[in-house]
This record gives sequence, structure tokens and C-alpha cells, in this order.
Amino acid sequence: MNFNSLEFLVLLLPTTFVAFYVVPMQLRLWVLVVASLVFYGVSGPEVLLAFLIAILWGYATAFLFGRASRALAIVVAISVPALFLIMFKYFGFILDTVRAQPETRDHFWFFFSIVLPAGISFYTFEIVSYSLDVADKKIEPERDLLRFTSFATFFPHLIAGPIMRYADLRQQLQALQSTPILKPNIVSALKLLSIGLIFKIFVADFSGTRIAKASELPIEQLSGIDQLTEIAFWSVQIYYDFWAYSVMAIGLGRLFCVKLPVNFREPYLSRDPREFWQRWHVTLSYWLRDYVYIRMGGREAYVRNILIVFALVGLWHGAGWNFVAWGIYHAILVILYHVTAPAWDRLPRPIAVATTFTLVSFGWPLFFLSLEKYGMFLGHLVTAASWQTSVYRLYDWLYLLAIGVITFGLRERNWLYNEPTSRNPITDSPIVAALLMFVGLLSISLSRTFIYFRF
Amino acid sequence: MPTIEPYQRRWLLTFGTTLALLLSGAVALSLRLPSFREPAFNFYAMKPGEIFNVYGLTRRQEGSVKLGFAEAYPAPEIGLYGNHIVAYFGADAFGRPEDAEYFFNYYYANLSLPEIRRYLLRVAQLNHLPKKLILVQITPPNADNGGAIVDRGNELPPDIFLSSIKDDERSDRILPIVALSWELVSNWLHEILNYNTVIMSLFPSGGYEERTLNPANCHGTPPPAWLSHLPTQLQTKLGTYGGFRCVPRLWAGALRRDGSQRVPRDEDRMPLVQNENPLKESERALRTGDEHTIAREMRAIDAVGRRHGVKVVFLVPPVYETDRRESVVNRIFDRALALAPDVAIIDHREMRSDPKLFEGGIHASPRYYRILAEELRRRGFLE
Repeated sequence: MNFNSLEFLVLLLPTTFVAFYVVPMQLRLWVLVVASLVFYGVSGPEVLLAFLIAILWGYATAFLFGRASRALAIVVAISVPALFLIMFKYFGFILDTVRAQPETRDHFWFFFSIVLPAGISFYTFEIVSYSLDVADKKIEPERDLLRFTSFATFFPHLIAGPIMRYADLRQQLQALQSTPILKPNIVSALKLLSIGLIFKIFVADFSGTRIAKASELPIEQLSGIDQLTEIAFWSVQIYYDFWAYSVMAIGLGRLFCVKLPVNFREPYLSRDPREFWQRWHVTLSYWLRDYVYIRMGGREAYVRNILIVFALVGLWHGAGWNFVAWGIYHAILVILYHVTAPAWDRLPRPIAVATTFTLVSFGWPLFFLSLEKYGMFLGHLVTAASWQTSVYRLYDWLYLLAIGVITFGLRERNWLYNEPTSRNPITDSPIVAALLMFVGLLSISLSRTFIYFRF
Repeated sequence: MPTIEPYQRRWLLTFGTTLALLLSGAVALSLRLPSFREPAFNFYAMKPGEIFNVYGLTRRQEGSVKLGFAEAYPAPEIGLYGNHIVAYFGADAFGRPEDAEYFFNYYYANLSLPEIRRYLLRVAQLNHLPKKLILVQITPPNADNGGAIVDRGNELPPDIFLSSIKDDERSDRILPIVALSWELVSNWLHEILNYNTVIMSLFPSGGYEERTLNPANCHGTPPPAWLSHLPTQLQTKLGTYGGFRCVPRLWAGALRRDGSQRVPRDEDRMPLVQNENPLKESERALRTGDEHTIAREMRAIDAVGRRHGVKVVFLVPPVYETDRRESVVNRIFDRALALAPDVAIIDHREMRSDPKLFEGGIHASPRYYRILAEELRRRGFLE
């Protein structure tokens, strides 16, 4: 199920909300777990079963630490979640890479034919981080299976993050079980839900339809302007798709008195590629920093480690060489910045932000195009014979301009995550929020699955 | 219960009241939308060359035009049941142009096999099944990445599947009441909470008479020049509501006398795209186990025909694509067909590479349907 579905917004969410606040406090986590399993189970019984096995495995193997050797316990603890991730998400890619024969594939038909479990990369990383934190004695193994299951299944962050650490949620979940009267910030929650929904449909998905306009034509028929506009739409689509999910997830968390971190901190305002990764999908960046980069030695072998970490970032986003190339591209940008930081940091802020945005934007097509097509795309752009637009029109650029004003001109602390003491007359208005929710509900048929849904 | 401070309470009250008013308005508007099902439109009464313009109709209304016809009038000798994939399959494929008394194309929106089964059960209850042959189109798996084969798109009005429950061999699911209730609520929600429903109910766009016209004799008010400068979608919307019936672009999707869709003019034709659906793994709509569902649905549909003494033939038209036989959805579908060897099927997925056989990447052309009709004849299905 998705946040942008009528079944979720009109049926499951209100039912869960009412049940959550009506039941005795000891049962609140049960309500969340049941709702989360319904939310997830719609994808199919096989993927639900795999998810439950991964959770139970993470829970049970945490008790190995201290009883078996640390290395062995780590291997055992992460083996099943990692195996599921490899088999469901990467196995096809591996077989493609080694050019496996059809007969070989037939042996593994079961894994190919099951739909890729939604959010598998997210929940795998969460379960693995729990095991590693227990191994590092940062946290104690959780004895309460219900609480651990709530952590892994909590539907607001289940499908597309943020990637939570158990230490961040444990106390909040305990509070839900033991606080007689909760004080949810429903106003903020509904505001975030409405705004997230509208941006998903009218910014991310609309941009997707404009991209399709160019994508359905042979590359030779596109002019340089068309290609640049397409890249701009890609930048808008990807960012606002992730952003909208993140905003809705935070809103949903607040409905149930659970505080989720901001996962996208205005990344397009970054001055340099390194800062971009401190603002883009923050919980993923920190996960890789803590569990991969630092463990490999961090700055001791900076270039090697950055290349490895970003190749993993690419692979995490998708099983394909285009995703690996996208990761390596970002590694090169970060290393480039590392080398030229003194000069880069002296650039006036607007120029630094524009440069970073442009460099990042040229990487986005790799999310959608194979390496070969990306090469053709860039090749055609460089040698563009025509700069007369054949696809896009004035209203496309006016639309992009409006989105640009929101993205670069407004600060989220003033209109989205503003304090209750500094209310924004537009975004904090209940009438505006109701209108946005209404328009969002009516337009859901225009909406598409979140891009991160199958990550 | 949660504690809510006074500011939150006031905010919630305003939010809730506004949203409730807006939603009530949407429900009220949807109720005044004409159904286009009763009284039914009579395709048999159309004159050759005439078209039925569907612009400005909601998806449900457009489907209801044919559904109403199927309920009110007996079917011809051959009836085709499917979805937009077979939109261009007309009686001319049999050498009998627009002969609705011989062949009628009941294609409807994006119907999948379970919906077609219900549709046929309803028609069978009314004794309006085709006399000789029921053709049932199955969406080729690579057309929509496995979509519109067994998944339901809330396309049919709920009364159709309620009325057919007692005859339905496939009412064998676990918790049928829960499943049925969920489906009813979901169906209703998708119809009411839909921008199209609200907009169309605000701007009624003409009944049967205004919608039936002959393009050859169209001499209505010419559209103003400024209309042609607007984006295509806006042109068609404004053109419809402005009553400019003689705008050829508005005739896209118009229905002919035999229920098939009018082939677009050359200037309105979209470029032919090979592999239109990139078959993204993340958007795959068939999964393991669905092969059994597909086979069961095919058998259940076949049984409807057998009970009424009418032959059922399933059709799988081709998609304009490269060799994608090994796609996961295609392989699941292969397995489904292997599980139903007892039903008659014409599987043309292999005819994928000749662009002349296509009107669009996933829509076969009239030329293809002539080949299909020839095969039906050759295999004795038309006798």
C-alpha cells in the first residue's frame, strides 16, 4: 500500500488513528503492528512472510552477542536479512552480469517471480543496524518482541524511510506503551500530510508526465533545450517524490506521537557535493558513514573509501550498472570537491549552489536510463544540432520557474517545519490544509507509486 | 483519548468542517452525473459512418455507454469483450464494415479477466450473450507489465458484480464478505473521489444526440482560432464544453457503430514506440501464483459460454516490441496458459515486430485484426 492511495488515506489511516487512541495504552503497539502488517501485506503474502522472518531473525540473533564470538554472531545476525536482500533485489542483476543461461535462471524462478518486496532495502538496513549496534554494545538486545516488531514495521517509515536506528525509536515506543494520555501534534501532522500529498501529485508526478513527453520520442528528435528541460524535470521529479514521502512520513509519525527525523534538508541549497550528501537522504548517508565508511577506516584511505561507499549508495538505490555509475559519479564529485575545497569554498554562495545543483542534476538521468542510453543522451546534448524546442513549451518553463522559486527561494523552517509560535498564514491555515487534502484526494488517480517504494 | 489543546481543537474543527463540506459537495456532484447506462444508447440505430463522441465523459460513463447497450439489446453473432487494447477491432476485419448485427466490440476501459467474467455473467443473466462466438481479449503481459490481467481497476459499476454473485463460480475466496465489502468501498471511493467525476458533473457535456455525428457531414460552428494555440488537452476540454463538435481532435476515442474505436487521423497519430512499457521490476503487476488465478479465470469464463452453448475463444494480441519473451510477466503468463490447455486461445504475442500491425505500441491495428479474423475462420470458430 502507498501513502498516496485512497485505501490508505480514507480507510486504513483513520481506522488506525481511532483504534490507537481508543485502546488501552498497553495495546497501542499492537494496533500499530497490525495496521503496519495490513499496510505491508497488501503487496502479497510471500513478501510479508519474508519481512516477518527477517524481523524474527534480527530479534532472535541479537541474543547471540555475548554468547558466541562477535564476528560469528554478526555474520549469523545479518545473514538472513542480507540473503533476502540479495536474492530478491540483486540476484537478477548478478545473473545478468555473469550472463547466466536461461536454465540457470529457471532454478531461481521463485525469486524472480515474486514481486520485489517493498522497502526491502530500508528494513534490511534497519535490522542490520540493530544487530551491529547490539554487537557494539550501543544498545541492549530488546526482549520485548512487540516493541521490536513495532520498530521494524512502523508503517510511516516502513516503505521509504527514514532509516531509523533502534536507539532513536526505543524510548518513543516505550512511551507509547506507558503514557496514559498522549499529546499528538495533529495540526502539524495534517498539514504535512496535505502538503506532502499535493507535492507528490502536482510536482513529482506531474514532472514525470512531462518527462514522458520527451522520453517517448527518439533522442534524435530532441533539441538541446528539450534535453536540458528534461534534466530539470528529472531533478524536480526525483527530489519532490522523495521529499513528499518524507514529509508525509513525518506527518504520519506525529499523528501517533512518534518523531521521525527530517530526511531531506533542502539538499538543492547545498554549496558543494559533500554538503549535498549531508542534506540528501540524511539517514542513509549517516547509516553508510557509521556502518561502512568509518569501519573501513574513514579518512585513512579517503578516495578508496568514498568510491566504495558511493558505489554502495548507487547499488542500494537500484540493481543495475546505471545505479552503480550514478554512485561513482557522486563519488567523483565529492572527491573533486575534497581536492578543490579551498577554491570551491571561496565561490559566492549563489554560484556554488548553482554549480552543485547543475552537477547533481546531470547525474539524475542515470536513475532512469541504461548506461548506453545515458551515453547517447549526453552525446546528443553535446552535439545538439538544434536548439529549437520541439517538445516543451513556455508553460513548462513557467512551471519549472515556479518550482524553482519554492525550492531555492523559500526556507522550510518558515513554512513547513515552522514553530507553532511563528505560524505561516498560508501553510498553517486549516482551510488551506483542508483544500489541499481535498484536491489531493480527488487527484489521486493521477498519482504514481513513490520512486523509493521498491528500493 | 489524546489531549488536544484549544488552538489545535479550533484548527481541527475548521479543517474537519471544510473538508467535510468539500467531500459532501463531491458526493452530491457525482450523484447528479448522468449514468449513460439508462436509458441505453442503441448502437444498432446508428447510421453507417456515424460516430459516438466520448469526449467529456468520465471513464465510468464511457464504459456505461456500452454496458447499457449490452444490457438493453441482444448481442450480435460475435461479441468481443476486453479492454482498450482491442479498441480498433471492428467488424471490417470480417469484411463486414460496421455490421453491428454481426460483430460488436464491447471493449471497456481497462477490464481484466475477473471483471470480464462478471460482465459476461451479467449479460448471460439477461440472455444477451452473443449467439455464435464470445471473444475474450486478455491484456498481453508485456503491454502493461502484467497489469489489467487479473488485477481489478474498479472499472465496473458495483451492481454488476453484486448481481452476478449467485452465478459466480469464482466466489470461493477466503472471507468473501470482507473481500466483497472492501471491493465495494474501494470501487465507490475511486468513483466519487475523482477529479474527473467532479469536473464532468460541474460541466455537463452533451447527451446521446449531441454526441452522435457523421464526420463527413459535420458543419457545426467552427472552433475559434485561439483554441488551436492551447495545449492539446485544454483544446479538447474547452472544445467539448464550448460545443465545438466539429473539431476532429475531439473525435479521438470516438466509437463506431460496431463498438470499435475510430482510427486516429494521421496528424493526430502518436509516434509508434517499441517497448512502450519498459517492464520495470518495481511496477510489475503479476507475481508468482497469479498463473493459477489466470487459468481459473479463463476456465470460469469458458464455463459461462459452455453453459449457454456459445463457444469462447481467448485472444492475446501482440505488442510492438523487441524479443521480450523472457520477461517475468511473460513467463508467468506462459505458465498460466499451460495450466489451461482445455480452453481455446489465439496467442499472437509473437507477431511483435511488424510496425504495420500496430496503431500504437500496445494497440494492434485494423490490419492485424484482419489477420486475426482470418485465423478465426481458418480454425473453424466462425462456423
